[in-house]
Order: sequence, then structure tokens, then C-alpha cells
Amino acid sequence: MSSAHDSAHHESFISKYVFSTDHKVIAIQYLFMSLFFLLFGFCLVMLMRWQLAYPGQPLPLIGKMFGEINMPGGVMLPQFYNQLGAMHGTIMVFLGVVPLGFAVFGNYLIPLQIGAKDMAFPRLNMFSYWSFFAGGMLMLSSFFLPGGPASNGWTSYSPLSDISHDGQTIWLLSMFIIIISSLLSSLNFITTIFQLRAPGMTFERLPFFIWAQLITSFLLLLAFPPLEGAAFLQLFDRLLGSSFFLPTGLFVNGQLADVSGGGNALLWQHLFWFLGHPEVYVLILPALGIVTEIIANNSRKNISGFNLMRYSVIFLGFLSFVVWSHHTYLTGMGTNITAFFQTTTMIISIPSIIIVSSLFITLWGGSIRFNIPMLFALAFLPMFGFGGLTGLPLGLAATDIPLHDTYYVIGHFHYVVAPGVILGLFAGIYYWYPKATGRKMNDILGHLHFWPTLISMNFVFFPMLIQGLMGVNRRLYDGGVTYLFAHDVLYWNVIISWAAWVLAVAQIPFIFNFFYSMFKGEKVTSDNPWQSTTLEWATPTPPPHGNFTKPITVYRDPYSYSLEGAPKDYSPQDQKEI
Amino acid sequence: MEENSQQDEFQRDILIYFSIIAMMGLIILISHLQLKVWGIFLIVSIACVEAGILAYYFMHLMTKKKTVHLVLLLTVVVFLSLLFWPAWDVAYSPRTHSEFTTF
Amino acid sequence: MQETEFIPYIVKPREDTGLYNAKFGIWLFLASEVMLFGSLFSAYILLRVGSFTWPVQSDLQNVPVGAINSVILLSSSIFFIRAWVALKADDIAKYKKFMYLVILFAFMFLGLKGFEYYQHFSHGEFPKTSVFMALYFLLTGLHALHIIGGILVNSYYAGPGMYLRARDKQWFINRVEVAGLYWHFVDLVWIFLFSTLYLL
Repeated sequence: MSSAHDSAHHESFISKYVFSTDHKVIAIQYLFMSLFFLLFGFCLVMLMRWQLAYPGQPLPLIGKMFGEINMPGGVMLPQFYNQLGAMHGTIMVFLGVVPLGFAVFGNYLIPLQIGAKDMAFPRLNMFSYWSFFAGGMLMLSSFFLPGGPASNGWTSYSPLSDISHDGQTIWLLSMFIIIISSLLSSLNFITTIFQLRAPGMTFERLPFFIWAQLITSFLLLLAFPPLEGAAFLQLFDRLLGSSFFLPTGLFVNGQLADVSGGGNALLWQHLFWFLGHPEVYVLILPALGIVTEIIANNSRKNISGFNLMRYSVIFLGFLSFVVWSHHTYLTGMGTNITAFFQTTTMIISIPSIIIVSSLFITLWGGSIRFNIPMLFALAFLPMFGFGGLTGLPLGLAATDIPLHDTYYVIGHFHYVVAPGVILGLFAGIYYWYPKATGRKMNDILGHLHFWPTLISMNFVFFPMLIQGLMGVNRRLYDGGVTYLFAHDVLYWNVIISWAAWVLAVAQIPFIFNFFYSMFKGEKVTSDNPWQSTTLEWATPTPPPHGNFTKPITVYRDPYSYSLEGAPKDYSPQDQKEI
Repeated sequence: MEENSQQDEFQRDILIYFSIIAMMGLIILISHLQLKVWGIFLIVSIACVEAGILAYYFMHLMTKKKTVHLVLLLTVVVFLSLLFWPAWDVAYSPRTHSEFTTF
Repeated sequence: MQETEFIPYIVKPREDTGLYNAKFGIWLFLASEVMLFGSLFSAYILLRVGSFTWPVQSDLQNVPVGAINSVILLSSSIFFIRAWVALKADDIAKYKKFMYLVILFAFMFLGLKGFEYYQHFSHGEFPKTSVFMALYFLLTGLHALHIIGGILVNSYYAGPGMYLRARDKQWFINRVEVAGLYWHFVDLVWIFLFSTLYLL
């Protein structure tokens, strides 16, 4: 069957590698783009960190390259700082981490782990990638506008966003295209997981990674459209003069705004955060899925409390839709509604704690192998756990009052995303690299990447928690220099910036390792170098178009390690005998 | 027999068509009465019934399996929470006053 | 032919879900569309509940034209069902006839909508005039874009796309069914739009 399919395909370079419908090629395309965007977004914040550590000082060597409009004489202007901040957030979240966690790993692994030949809608998949590419390019192009890119934070609050310069319009249009790409991918993933599972692959036998991707897809499917709606509303305000978000009696630059009024600025906030909160679970769930796979594999044990983890992740997905207003505690909401959201926010910490605890408990009594993926996965657990705990004072309305909009918030969410999610995603890259390329990444370079990254990340984000507790506001282009109460903690700015630059240098071994190992890495001697049980390892290396060379039937649970009476310490899912 | 069941289906479709139009007429009548809050509640409910009938028969929802029902139920729950939150917030919030505030 | 061997359940439904892939996919897509229009309805509710004054909508709107449009769209839904039944029964002439009626009625809907927009513009009612007008134009405009999308898809399946039927008959029938589900959904949204923007 698959040979008939292949021979009918006269595949040119273009149709095989550029406009491919093969989920693995599409995943690699997403991989290169998202890694590029992560690097780009990181560079943006490194620029910002210069301004925060040495406010008003010209940036040496490269400062003059940014032009007189942005950095006259190499000194950063406030508007440029705001633009860097807004684009850093937008690019990292929507073009970096989500595509890497969801699109890259999801596209590559979902058909493989469920025993399918490809996604349910391969051409739609290709369209998703190219619209993501188009949206990303449009977003980058805003840097070349006369007024520069959007500057109102990744959250683009109204009414400022309604009246700001053209960069905001491009932001809205790019978001629209990126959202379409995301929606189509989610429905592709969900349909694939429901419809294309191999015989014997019941829902209970699906690896936790697939469960995580399934819930993530539902979150994206249902939560992104309200942001699309909000984008339409804001585009109407900007381009057609409507007043969806502009209240009556608004003064702009000292003059009464010539608009009909009657709008509500909070409407934007609620619509944005209706997506914004599920979005953070979209960030974390793929990483949780990846880390679960790696921990099970490198502990040679079944995941403790796997059933409970599955129920928790479903519950988490459901709850994530009803907690969003903990982002708007300080907007003058009534106490009843504040109490409601506070309650749901506290409750939602329970499933996440269950999942992380199950992973910790799994380690107990396991035969732990400390390879590079496992190091990243192990580091993820306490880092994400700590980051999550720092969220508790933010989730409680009373303690949020002094902490809202301070560096404490920045420290909290970066802890869960940077030492949290990103470490998990790195783990995934090191883990599945041998399957995709047939070669292992170099271990020494892996250590050179891991240890400095872990240590410097803590030096970047922990001091932010301290600064926030002392009241330093976020999005201040001078780092708090003009606030008297902040003077005692401003010295941390220098430490944070240097740690961030060390963090940047620590990524060089990874970048080199990634490209070098493709050509010169140690070749793997088996299709299943990590001795794993899940189906993606039952393919040739790298998997061909169509993935499996023989029909797959699934006989057992996904983490069948160290079974009683089994000859090896792992029993692959598609192997009939134990 | 094929013909008969097709005819039955056609007759049923026509029946549904006219019942939806009738409900639309009912809504137009109700809107003329200007019943304020009750009017809104009635109109929205009847619109939901219309939409439900359309989905059930025209979109073959009645023949669908549990999977589709589950997905739709989830959507409806999320949708309702999105819809009713703003009304609750504005009605109970001390910063806004309108004809609908209760204090 | 080869594609349906490569990916299963394109044509035959899968036993445990009872659906073929495209039908599953379109229901998911419609769920996301519910959330999209839902967020705009939610904006309507928030803005109206939070405002001191709100125009009497039936005074600003052309209710008879809206009602006629509702009947037009509903009729096009019925025509689509007839078209699909005819397609399943291999009656291609009837299928095409009813599809052309669907497309014609869709254009009639757009025509009346355009007339309504023109009426509003000539009374000086634009999105920037009031929040209600802005909501009206956005919601009906987005809906109209969905109608245009539907017209394109339906025209394709009634015209140039018919070569797909020669390649795989059942697959083509499935595609038309999925297009029909989308079309019914567009009709469903209009029911809510008419009730909310004209009659509430």
C-alpha cells in the first residue's frame, strides 16, 4: 500500500521539503522557525537588560546600529524599550514556545505514538505551517515600519492600543493569521488522536504526552477565538473609528477624543485573558507531557498515579477556562466575582500539584539513568514547582494587591516558562533527536549547555521576585531608578543582566551541538536507543513517509517497564509477548 | 420504500422550516411588546430553541455519537460562562451603574 | 484512491466514533466558530448592560428586510439538504439545480444586506456613530464574510470541483455533507444575529 503511494509521488525537492504534507517534515519546519524566534526574542530582551542595568548609558559596540530614532548615540529611548518589551513577549509566547511545544513535538510525535501513518488532514497541516510562517514574517516586518513595532506589551491593553501607532495594527493582523494557523492545527491533532489510533490503542493506553497534547488542542481550539474576536474589535476601533474599548469622556493628549464613546476598556482585558489564561496551560502541558515520557523511560518504571494524572489533566483543562479574571483583580471588580475567580484559581493548583507530585513519586525506587534528557527533565520538576508556588500569592486577591504589575509577576511567570517549560522542551529535543536524525547529540556539549543554563536562569529570575516584593513596577524603562522606595534593590538589575548574558552564552554549546551532531554526531546502533516502550521507537530511524513498515497492534499500557516475568526491563507496546 | 422514506424526510424538513419561521414571527411579536428583561429572556430562549431544532434535524445532530455530543457540551458550557460572566460582573460591580444594576 | 488507503476513515466512518475524519473535523471547527461569535455576543452583552442608554434597536433597523433575509437563508439551508439527498441518489442534474439555488439565495441575502448597509450609511450611521452601530456592522460583516466563504465552497462543489466525484464518489458526497454542515451553521448564527441585533 505505502509503496504504491510512494511510487506515484514524483517528489521534487520542493514537494518533499518545502511544501510537504508529511507531519515529520512539517514538524522540522516548525522547529527551525520556533528556535529562530526563541533566539530572536531572547536577543530583544538582552538589549532591554542593558538599559535596565545601566540606564541612560550608550550600548557599546552595537548601540549605534539601531538608528537615531531608537537609540540616538547608542542610548535607548523609552519608546524603543517599550517596543522591545512588547515584541519580546509576543514573539516568545506566540511564535516561540507555543509552536515549539505544541506544533513541533505534537506534529512529529502524535501520529508516531498512536500508530498512524500521518495526520488526519495532511494538506491542512501544511497550510497551518505556512500561515504560521506568514504571520511570523508579518510580525517581524513591523520592525521596519516608520513608527516601529507595537509597544503596548504582549497584552495590548486598550485604550492605549486603540490610539497607538501603526505597529499595533500589524500586531493585530499577525495575531489573526497566527490564530488561524493554531486553530487548524488543533483540530487536526484532535481528529487524528480520536480517529487514527492503531488497533488496540485505547484511550487508556495512550502515552501521557498524547493526553497532554489532546487537552492543549482543546484549549487552543476554544480559547483562541475570543482573542480573534477582540482583535476584530480593536481593529474596528483603530481603522473605522468605533468605540468598543473607548469610554465616554476620554481625553487623549489633553483633548476630548472625537469618538462616540460608550465603550469599555475592560472588555479588552476580559476577552484577552479569556485566551490568556488557557494560553499558559498551552505553554506548560506539552512540556509536562515530554517530561513524563522521559522520566518514565529513565526511571525504568511505570508512572505512579497515571490514572490520577489523566483525570487531573482533563480537570485542569476544564478549569483553565474559568480562572481568567485573576489577571484583572485590580480593575475594580465586585467582591462576589473576585471571590469566584479566587476560588477557582486556588482549586486549579490541585491538578498541577498532583501531576508534578506523581512525577516525583515515580522517581522513588526507580533505576535512574542520568542522561542529558533526564537531567533537563529532573531540573524541570523543582523549577516548575517553585515557579508554580510563587503564583499562589498572585492568585489570592488580597496578596495580589501589592504584587500586581510588579517584577514579582515577571519573576513568577518566567520561572514557570523559562526554567520550567523551556527546560522541558530542551529535554524533548535531546531525547527525540536520535529518532529524527539517527545520531545522538554530544553529551559533553549537553552538560556545557545544561549546567550554566540552569544556574544562570535562577540568577536571572529569582532576584525579580525580590524586586517585586519591594514594589518595583514592571515595564519601567529605567528599571526603577526614579522610585525612591526601590533604591535598595536596584543593584539586582546589574546582576540579573549579567546572568542573562551568561545565559545567552550558555546556549552556544546547544546551537553548535544541534547542527554539528546532524552530520558528525555518534550514530545510534538501534532504532530504540533509549529502550523505550512507546510506539515512536518501533519505526526505522529516521521514520520514512508512512512511519511504520508493518501494521501496528497495541497490546499493553504505555509505560510497561520492569514487568514481572518479562525478559527485558521494557516491554514495547506493539510487542505481543511480554 | 426508498422513495417513501425520502418523501417522509422531505415532509419533515418542510415542517421544521415552517416551525422555525413561525418561531421567528413569534419573536418579532414579542419584541413589539417591549417587555424589557422578560422580553430579552423570552426572545433569547426562543432563538435557542430555533437554533437547537436546526442543529438537531438539519445538521443530523440526533444521529451523532457520544463524541460529538461531548465536544458540543463542553463548548456550550465554556460559551455560557463567557456569556454570563460579563453581565454578572457589570451588574454587581460598584463602579458601573445602568438600568440593570441591582443596587 | 491512494490517499484513502494511506489515511483511513476518509470515506468510511470509524466504528467507535461513528464519524469519518472530515465530519469530526468540521464539528470541531464549528465549535471554534461558536466561541468566536460567542465572544462578540459577549461583548454585546457587556456593552449593553454597562451602558446608560441604548437605542431602541427596532427603530434603527429594517426589521422586515431582516425577516426576509432570515427566510432566504433558511430556505437556502433546505435547498442544500435537497441537493445532498439528490447527490446521494446519483441525480446529478437535481443536485446541481439545488446547489445553484443555494448560491442564488446566498447572493440574495448579501444583496439585501448590502441594501441595508447602504440605508444605514445614507442616514449617517457608521461604526463610529455609536457602539450599537459598530457592533451591528462588525457582527453582520463577519457573518457576511462567512457567507462569502460558503458561496466559494458551494460554487466549487457545484462546478469545477465536480471532477472529484469522478475520482471517488463517496468521498465527494462526504465533502458536500461537510460543506452543508458549515452552511447550516452560518444559518444558525444568523438566527441569533437577527434576534439580538434587530429584535432585542
